[in-house]
Amino acid sequence: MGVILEDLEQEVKAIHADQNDLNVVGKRIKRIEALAKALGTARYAADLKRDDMLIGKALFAKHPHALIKKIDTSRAEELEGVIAVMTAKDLPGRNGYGILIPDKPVIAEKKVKYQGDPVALVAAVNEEIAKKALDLIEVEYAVLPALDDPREAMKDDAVLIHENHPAADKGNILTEVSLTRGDVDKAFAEADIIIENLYETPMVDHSYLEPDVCIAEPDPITGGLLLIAPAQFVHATKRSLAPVFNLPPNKVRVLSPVVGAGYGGKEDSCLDVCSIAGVLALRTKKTVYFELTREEIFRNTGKRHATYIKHRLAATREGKVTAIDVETILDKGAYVSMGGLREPTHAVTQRTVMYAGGAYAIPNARAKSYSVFTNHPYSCAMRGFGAPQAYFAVESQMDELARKLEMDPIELRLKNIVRDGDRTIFGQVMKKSRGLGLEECIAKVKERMEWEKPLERTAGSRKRGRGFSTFLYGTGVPLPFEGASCYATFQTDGTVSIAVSSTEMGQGLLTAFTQIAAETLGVDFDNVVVNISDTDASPDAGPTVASRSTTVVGNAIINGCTQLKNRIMDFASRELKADSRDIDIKEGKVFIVGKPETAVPLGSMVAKAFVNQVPLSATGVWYPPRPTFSGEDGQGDPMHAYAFGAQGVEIEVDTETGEIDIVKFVLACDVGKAINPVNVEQQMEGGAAMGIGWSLMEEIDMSNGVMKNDSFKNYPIPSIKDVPEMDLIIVEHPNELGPFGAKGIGEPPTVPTAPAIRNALYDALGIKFNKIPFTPQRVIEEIKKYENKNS
Amino acid sequence: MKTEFFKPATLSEALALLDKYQEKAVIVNGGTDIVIKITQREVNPEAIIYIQGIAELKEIKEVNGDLVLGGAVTYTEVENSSLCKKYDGLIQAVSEIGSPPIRNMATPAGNIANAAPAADCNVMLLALKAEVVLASSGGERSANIQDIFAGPFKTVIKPNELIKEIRIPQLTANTHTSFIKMTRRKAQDIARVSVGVSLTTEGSVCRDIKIALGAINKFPVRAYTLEEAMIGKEVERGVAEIKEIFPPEATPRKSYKRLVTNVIIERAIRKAYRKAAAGGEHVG
Repeated sequence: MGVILEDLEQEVKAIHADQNDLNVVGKRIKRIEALAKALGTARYAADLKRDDMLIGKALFAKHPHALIKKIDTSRAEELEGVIAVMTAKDLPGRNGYGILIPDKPVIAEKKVKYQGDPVALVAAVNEEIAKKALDLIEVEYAVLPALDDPREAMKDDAVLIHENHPAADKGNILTEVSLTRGDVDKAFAEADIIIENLYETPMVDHSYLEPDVCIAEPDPITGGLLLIAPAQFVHATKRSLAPVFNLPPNKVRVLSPVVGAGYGGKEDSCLDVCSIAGVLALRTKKTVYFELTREEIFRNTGKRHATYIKHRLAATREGKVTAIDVETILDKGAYVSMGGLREPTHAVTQRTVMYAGGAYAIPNARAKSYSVFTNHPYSCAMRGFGAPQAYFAVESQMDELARKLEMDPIELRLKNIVRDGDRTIFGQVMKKSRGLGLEECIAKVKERMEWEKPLERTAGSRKRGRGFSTFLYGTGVPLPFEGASCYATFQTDGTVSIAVSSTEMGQGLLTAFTQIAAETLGVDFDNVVVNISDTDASPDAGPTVASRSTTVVGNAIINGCTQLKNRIMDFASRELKADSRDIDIKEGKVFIVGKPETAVPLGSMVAKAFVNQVPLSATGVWYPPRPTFSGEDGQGDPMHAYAFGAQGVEIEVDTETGEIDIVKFVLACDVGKAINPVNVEQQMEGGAAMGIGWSLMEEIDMSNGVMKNDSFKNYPIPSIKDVPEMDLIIVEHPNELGPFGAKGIGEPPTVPTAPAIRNALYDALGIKFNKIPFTPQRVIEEIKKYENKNS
Repeated sequence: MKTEFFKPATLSEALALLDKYQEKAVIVNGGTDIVIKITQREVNPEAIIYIQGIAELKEIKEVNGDLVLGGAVTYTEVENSSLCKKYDGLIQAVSEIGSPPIRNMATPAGNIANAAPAADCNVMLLALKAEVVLASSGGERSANIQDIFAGPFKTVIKPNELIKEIRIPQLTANTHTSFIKMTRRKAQDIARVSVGVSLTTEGSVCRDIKIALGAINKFPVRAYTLEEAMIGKEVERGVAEIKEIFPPEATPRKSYKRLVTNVIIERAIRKAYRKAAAGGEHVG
């Protein structure tokens, strides 16, 4: 291993040789918004609430699946202080919205399909009255059986949740995505070893701290609407909701102040709150404030798809994986959200197919995923977007294979990982030129885990075990419109304004974008200001999702800044009487290269350019190579670049209580280039902590469509004591198309944790855990079962 | 309906208000439980009587060797009190309740009045045989803590009564206490199973033991059967003997609790015994 590491180090040094002259990018710069957030002075949407706003409230479905027979709002309307009561018949426009398809009603009219469907809305002068008004609304329901299990819901005789869904394939099956590569049946027939297992992963909540709120303000001049809400995709919010308001999109302005985390959830939940606040504001012609309670956030807003995965894997005796055959059933919940439609918007369903074979070059593959409606909260985007589920299965399978072969699990992985020129199961060729640091990640994790050293196994009732896993994870969305635009502007003093529609939700995008702009223009970090998330102030940068912003939007910023820089260099060449190719801008000065005495402060050069008719604003754009992915066979090049990683954990299991302690946690991620290493480490920590929650304790408990644990009292997420100290390793194999070589890092760290812990559990106890989460209860019950079986 | 808010400065003032409003009043002490119930409109009081301004309830003192916690003393105050130090189990129980901000507000007395089945401090107070002194305008009465609880979130405290203080009897010689709880996560969680122990030893022999169980029944209970099985035996032998005996006093609804209760009991006893062995003269 030592030799491999040394070789790798040489290679990496060569890769980075040309990046030594960076001034801002790659530096550990403190978050721009950190101080204001720490002091509590940063203003989130709810902080903009004023006393003169009306308060909106919604009456949500009493039953998760029922026909609405009658609604009587007359008593609520009579209550003093109530300004408007709305039911579906009072809506101004289309009664439906959604990022992919408008199948979710603003107010349910004939039927409710889950607990979060609104049946009536109220606007009142204060919260007390609004709440009272809700109590006075009478709704008569005819209750229908609620569907909890997608495996049942997909059967032909199941009750239909949507009678006429505009996109459903068949019955309650929304969509089916398939992947085929090679000759799977032949490979299984010829296999030395076949591993087959069922895996289950739970529905979980994003648990973002900031609640979903919207302030909706009618614009008296245009007749349009301003919507202020935490959002992950302001332009899509505008586009999806304009028909709801019966307004053209140019009269809907969506603005998202700093966001208290989203993790994918606020791509959809902002539509939920904006639609309600918006129609109430149009109805009352007053500004309306609408906020979901935490219980409503639990019951109403999107969740991570629960999955049921049947995974078969074929291999040779030597440990070469020859084929996989995978079937995944996803709990879609009541509405499409980001669950996926037919080509090209398969979304989460597509990712479960795409990642079914992990980071391995497997020649034969068949994967089929079904997204099935149930009476649950709609499943939506959540950090990892289907990948954590797929990786839980495939990385557990790899562990089983290593066990069967009595081979070291890392050695087995090294025999199968994708290398330069290899194809993934979705047929994409992995290229070194786009960054391929998987092997380095594996080698470094192995070293830091002291993998070669025998493990101290048992101490009384406590047993130790080690687990390992790897991943590859695409940067960006595999959609034909993938790309980003922004505005870059020089102020006349040489300071810079960047306007992007991306969202700062704690991931550090403001800081990373500022670094990218400052580096590109040769100005100080402090002389750049990035304005975010206002549909009227910036063009569409695409969603703040899919680990895409630093890379895709970052490139658009480079493009805009380069245009500005070229204009100033061109102007300066005339001023300094030199060829523009000999001019450069660095550290806020314009100069002829090699002649420091010619340096002029950038501000004065920009001011001079301004009065000489040089335009100081530019639209920056960037598009990756057009993504492809065939709905027929699941083949294509869905993303232009991939992040890679490896994780090792050592755990200690208390065999008397079932409690798990993570005693060692090593995570290496190949991010191409860490624009800001602090940000990258924080993403790694946060993502891994989320993975720990998913692995050990989080699980939404649904029974007959009713959520049993709709508060943090009954839904534990990791406390700081549950998150171990992490050994984080940043690996940088540059992506030739990324800004300064960068690839995405937002979601990947969530991916490898659950299978690594699962594999460690198996190592410690010799018991298979194929269902997440590994709660003390589940662990102790399995131990007792195992003991009974073996006694 | 309008809710009146009162912040009495003296106990008698508070008791007069209770007399006036009776069950229509709600006493707010730390407020960490009751305020949520008020804002969720689970309770709709006519009067809120906030008692943190009553100086005479804020004292921690020793009276005839007994430890006395005033009715408005917070967990943080217990944690920081030198008088409470020797009650290891009490410190262990209170120092992991909620989070520091919760402990800055919440109180042992409020915990008793709230009567949550999983309340950590109540379990330990039961093992310590604490007495609860109840005051009303008619006078005072004192009740053993095990007679206070009537069900989940139910007590025998009358509407016109207020917890004036909690009296914890002086620990007899060679008595050591401990508390252990099992939770779903390592901090800020409600116990799934909790055990408080008060163990009196003579050398390696258990002379007396009190084992209190929390989060298993409707309110904290003593495991008398196990206590009796331990008394008079070598601690090690006793522990070995009760290992397989599920306390008949415990009636958990969830089978999982059945699987771990004995383990937690054993660990709590050992924790107290380790202290005894470390501090006692009869080690060896």
